Amino acid sequence: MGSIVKYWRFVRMGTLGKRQVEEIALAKAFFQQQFADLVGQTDVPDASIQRQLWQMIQPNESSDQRQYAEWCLRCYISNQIEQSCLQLETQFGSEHGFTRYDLFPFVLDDVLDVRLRDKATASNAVSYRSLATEILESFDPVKAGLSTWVTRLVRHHKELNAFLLERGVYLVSDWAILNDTTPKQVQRILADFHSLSAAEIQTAVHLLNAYHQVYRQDRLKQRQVGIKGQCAPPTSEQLQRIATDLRKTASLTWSVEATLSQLQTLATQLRQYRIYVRGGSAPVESLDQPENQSLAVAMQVAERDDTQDEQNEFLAFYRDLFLRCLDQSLEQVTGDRLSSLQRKKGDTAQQFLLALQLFHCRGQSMGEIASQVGLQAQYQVTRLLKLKEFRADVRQQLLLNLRDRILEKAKDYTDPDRLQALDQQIETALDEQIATVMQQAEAETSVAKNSPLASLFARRLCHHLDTRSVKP
Amino acid sequence: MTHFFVDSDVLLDSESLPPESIAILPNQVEQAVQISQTITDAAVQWQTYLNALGVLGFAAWLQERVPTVNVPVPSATELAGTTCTLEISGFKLCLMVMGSLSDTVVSVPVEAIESPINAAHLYVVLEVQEEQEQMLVKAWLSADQLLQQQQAQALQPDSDGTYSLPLTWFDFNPDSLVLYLRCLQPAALPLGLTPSPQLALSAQPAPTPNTQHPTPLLNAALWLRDQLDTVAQELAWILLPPPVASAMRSTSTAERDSTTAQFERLLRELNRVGVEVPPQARGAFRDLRWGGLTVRLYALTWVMPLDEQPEWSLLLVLSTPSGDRVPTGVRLQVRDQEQLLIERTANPETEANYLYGRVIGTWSEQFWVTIDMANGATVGLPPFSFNPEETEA
Repeated sequence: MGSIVKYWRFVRMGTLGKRQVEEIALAKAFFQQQFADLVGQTDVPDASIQRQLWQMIQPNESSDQRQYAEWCLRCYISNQIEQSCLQLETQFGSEHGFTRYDLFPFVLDDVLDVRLRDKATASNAVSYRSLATEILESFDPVKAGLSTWVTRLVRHHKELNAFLLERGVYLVSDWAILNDTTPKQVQRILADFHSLSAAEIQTAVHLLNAYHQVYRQDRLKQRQVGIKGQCAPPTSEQLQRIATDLRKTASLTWSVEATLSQLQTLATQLRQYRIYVRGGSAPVESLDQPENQSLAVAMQVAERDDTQDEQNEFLAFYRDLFLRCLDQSLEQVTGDRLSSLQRKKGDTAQQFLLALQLFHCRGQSMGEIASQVGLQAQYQVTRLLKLKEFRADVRQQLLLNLRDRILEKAKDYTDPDRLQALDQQIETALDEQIATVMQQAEAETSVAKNSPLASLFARRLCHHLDTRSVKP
Repeated sequence: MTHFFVDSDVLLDSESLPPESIAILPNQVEQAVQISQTITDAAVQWQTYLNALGVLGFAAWLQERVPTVNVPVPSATELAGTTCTLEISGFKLCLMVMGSLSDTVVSVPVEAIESPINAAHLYVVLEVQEEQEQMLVKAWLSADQLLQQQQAQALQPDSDGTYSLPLTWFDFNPDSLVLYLRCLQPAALPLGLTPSPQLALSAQPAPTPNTQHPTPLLNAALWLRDQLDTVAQELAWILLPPPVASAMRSTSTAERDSTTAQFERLLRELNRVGVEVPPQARGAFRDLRWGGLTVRLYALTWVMPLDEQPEWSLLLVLSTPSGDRVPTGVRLQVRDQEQLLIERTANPETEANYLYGRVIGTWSEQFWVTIDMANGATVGLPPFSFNPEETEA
């Protein structure tokens, strides 16, 4: 059920990249005449309206009616495309640094110029195919609702996906999933997860094998000549080869369309399983935010309260040596990171250094840092800094440095459990003072924000970065 | 033909790329395609391509994390299987590549776990998104954890000769994998599940030492140099630290439970009953299992104070991994070339939770240890020898 105005209000990209909404009077008049009983209602049965409109645009219908019905559908599609962009923005926009307006140019590309609907313009327009045209041509009300179909094609839009991938958001295509699935997996998933019959599973395995024979080989050939990016839907020529193969190996006589539809069905079944598997794991909370970091440490401290004295003892005993080794490790790991970043393009190394400083020495959040180092989104800063890895590398380097200084320690490294325990002790030691900061922050909420992080790790790192920036 | 109505929920599965993803570079893609082109079997070709993408990405990742490490690039043949084995810093890594599907299990050929030649210290799952040219070091599992899980779950191989290892067994923090590769000695980990119970144990009576066919020897002298020989490594012996508790050793909870602590407890108990172990002694242990029963055999060696000819001492202690009482009826036997030297059987009357025996021999003498598990199985171990001249590559 949906709003009726979507059938005559057309959303398009205006000049200067602005979204504009236009009321198409002819479409409105047509719609109100066709669906007179719905006028005045706020919520209308979309599925049945769309089925009727779709019937009206079939080639056997009169040309005027076809034109008007098509406008109504295109208006609806434009609204739905906007919705899809909005969904993407809501789901990923703030973390990955984009808004719906960044997405519109890729998909909101339909032209509905009702004033120029003479033959000459129509033939001019032949070479231009908007996404809406593609949606209308491939839409089949038996298979899916129009809104679902629009969302599907928007999400699979090649250029949109390339843009999103750049911002760290991706959608695996049906064809990639099919490529990477083995017959053994299909058998198990269809039997255990979808409870299909043995005969259905057998057919699916034949289909997958035939698809692999054709599509994977072609994908590798494309890779050889440098074609990259999202896996495109199989061409009719490829589908023909798959169908031929199926006729030979499994005596299945499927048309090209049927083959495509069966492949999509299989891919959807696998995708459902994939979502189930990936959704099963607990969401990973980012520890990169200064706030979260304190939280993580607070949890750690609470858990290890009984061993706190031992840890302090550990630290006290080694303090001097520990500090020297820590400084050395920070320098080594920062240096390693920089030299590997310097091999990459652009000024990534400089961005890294600055971001590292802003985070630890100024207590800024990833989002704030992004704009200062010339990146668009929090996500990109997170990926640039890889703080969790950075800290792990410093810890481990520290262990090695300590080992070299204290020969007797070496023997402890032959026991995996002891090694892990030592690694954790060092982690706690590095965060020694966070607990105090947490208490302060509770008393006075503004303390933790935009001030240097107080942990030993942060203090020594800032010290190192200060001395490093003095160097030429 | 049935039509499949597309479910709208299914469509909303765009995902955030995990920040720790690694971009696969164009030249790596090119290299992976080239490697795959040498494979003619179409079904194997794609897996080889994915394996190559994963392994090249993994190599670059590890190189970045640990610049001192040397990662070999495997050949097309080595990449052509379900998994690929790499040797890095003395560790054998079994790399398993998962494509864009995502699954709850990974397939590993039985021999990548059980064969002494192909088994690995570490099993690593790589997730490759071919389409996005991204990869991720997803999860890993050490051979000792694998062993524990396998024992607990009694996993059986599939009909195609592979194990389907549940991903829930794995550790999803690649940082601790880096920790192992950077800091741990390979000898601290066993290799896969070798020897599998079927290989190590037999329901037959133990072979007598006199059956003269070339047997591999365990060289205990290497332990004194902090080394395990190949035989010991293959048989999943784990080297123990020197018995003296160092002043630096703290006693946090994690460590109290560790094998080292348990070993030290055992030594204190032995000391109480008059068995003295000198500080220069070194030892190793391994677990033996059959049916529901697991026992732990400790072996300690040291050089005897020089008398007329050099001699070595071998102390054997049979305990359990948990430190609990050895089940009644379990028997420990030690033989030399000629005769049975020691025989101890667990019985409910004795005070101690463990069985032990000590023998002394010249450097040319060897000792055979047999354990009767009292459940129909008898374990015969390769003979212990002492050869300080030998060097282990």
